[in-house]
Amino acid sequence: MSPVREKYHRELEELVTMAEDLGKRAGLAVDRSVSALIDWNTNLAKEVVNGDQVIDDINQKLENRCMELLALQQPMAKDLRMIIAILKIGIDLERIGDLAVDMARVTIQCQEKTHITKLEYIPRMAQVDVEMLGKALEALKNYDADVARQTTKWDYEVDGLYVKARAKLMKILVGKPEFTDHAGSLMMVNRHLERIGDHICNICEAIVYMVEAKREHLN
Amino acid sequence: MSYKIESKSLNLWYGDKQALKNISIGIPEKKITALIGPSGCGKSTFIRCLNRMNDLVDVARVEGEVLYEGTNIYAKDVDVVEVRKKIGMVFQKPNPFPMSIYDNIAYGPRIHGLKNVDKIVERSLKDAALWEEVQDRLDKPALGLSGGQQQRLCIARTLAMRPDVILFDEPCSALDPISTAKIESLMDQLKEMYTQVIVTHNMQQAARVSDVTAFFLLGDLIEVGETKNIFEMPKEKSTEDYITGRFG
Repeated sequence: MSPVREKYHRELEELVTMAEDLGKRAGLAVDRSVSALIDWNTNLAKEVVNGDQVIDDINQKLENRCMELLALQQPMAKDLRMIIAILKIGIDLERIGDLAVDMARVTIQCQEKTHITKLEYIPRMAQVDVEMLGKALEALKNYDADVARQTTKWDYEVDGLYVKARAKLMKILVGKPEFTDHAGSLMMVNRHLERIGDHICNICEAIVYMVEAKREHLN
Repeated sequence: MSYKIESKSLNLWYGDKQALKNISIGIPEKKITALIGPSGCGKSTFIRCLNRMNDLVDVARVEGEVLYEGTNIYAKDVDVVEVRKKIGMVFQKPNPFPMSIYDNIAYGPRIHGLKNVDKIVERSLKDAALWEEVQDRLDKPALGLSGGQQQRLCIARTLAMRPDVILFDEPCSALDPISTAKIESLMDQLKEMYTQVIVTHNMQQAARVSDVTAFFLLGDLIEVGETKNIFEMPKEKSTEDYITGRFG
C-alpha cells in the first residue's frame, strides 16, 4: 500500500480513538453529575459544567477531521460508513455531555441541599447508562456489531427505572406544592438519564451500520 | 431487468495467457454500466469483446457467447461491420481523423451511403453537446479542437452511425476536470437513447455516472451490482479492498 494511503488509513483509525476519548469524557460527565447530585457536591457539579467545553471542542475537531477526509480522500464502502458513523456518534456523545451539564446544574442551583426522597432509581439509571456507554465504546473499538446490539438491550432496564422513578415523584408531588421545584428538577434528571440511554442506542445503531452496512432500529 | 448485451461464459486468451475467465454478465438497456478493477484485470479486454474489437488482435482467442439482442455476435454468419455500427466505441485518447470537423462526422455516414449527411452532422454534434462550440467552423481541422472537444467530436462521430450501444474505454483519462464533467453530463443525457458501458480507473467517476458497476480482478468478474450498493456496501472483500485503496 502506498504511504499516502497508509496515512489515510491511520487517520481513519485516529477517528475511532478520538470518538473513544469523547465517549469516555461524556460517560465520566454523566457519572460525576449524578454523584454530585447524590452528595450535593457543588464543586464536582461545577467541574462537570466547566469540562463540557473540552467535550464540545473534541467533537468539533472530530467533525472537522471527518469533513477533511470526506473532501480530500473521497472514501468509499467501509471507510465511508466509518466516517458517517463517527459523525453521528460524535453528535450523540456531545449531546450526552450537554445532558450531564443540565443535571449538574440542578446540584448547583438547588437551595435546599436535601432531597425530598431517597434517590433510589436515579443512581442505578446513571450506573446502567455509564456501563452501556462503556460497552458501546468497546464495540466501536473492536468493530463488533454483536456487542453493539447486545448493549442496546440494557436500555430496557433504563426505561423501566425511568417509569418507576417518574411514578414515585408524581406520588410525592400530590398535595405537596412546596416540592414542585425540586421534584421538577429530579423529573428532568430522570428524563435526561432515560434520553442518555436512547443516545447510546443511537451510537450502537451507528456501529452496526459501520461494521455491517445494516440500518437497524435497536431502540 | 432487460439486457441489451449479455456475455455467457466468456473466456479470452492472449496466446497462452487467459485474460478473461468465464465472464457472465448482463448489460442493462439504457443504463450506464461501469467496469472497474486494477490494471490488467481484464476490464478493457472485456469491453473490447462487446463489439469484437479483439478480432484485430492476432493472438486473441475467444470462447463463449456475447449476445446482442439475443444474437451471438461471435456466430460465423455475423457481419462484424454491422456489429460495430450498432455497438460503437470511444477510446481513451481522442482520435479525430486529420480532416475537418464536418468530415470527421460525415465520414461514416458517407461510407455507408447514408443521405442527408448535413442533418446527420448537425444532429450528431448537437447530441454530443458540441454544436454550439463548432457550428461556425465546421470546415476547420478537427485537430485544432481542445482535448475535451476532440473527445466529444469522437462521441459525435460514433453517434452519427446511430448505434444502440456506446462503449467508452477510459474516455476521460486524458481530459481536465471541466472537460471530464462535460463528458459525464453528456453520458447522462445520452442515457435516454443509448445503452452505455464505461471502463474507468476513476472510481469517483464510476460512482457519479453509472447505474451498475462490475468489479474485475485477474480476469474474473468478482462482483456486479447497483452502483450505490457496490460503493456503500460491497459484498466481496476484494471489491471492498480495491475501492477503499487497500490493495498492494
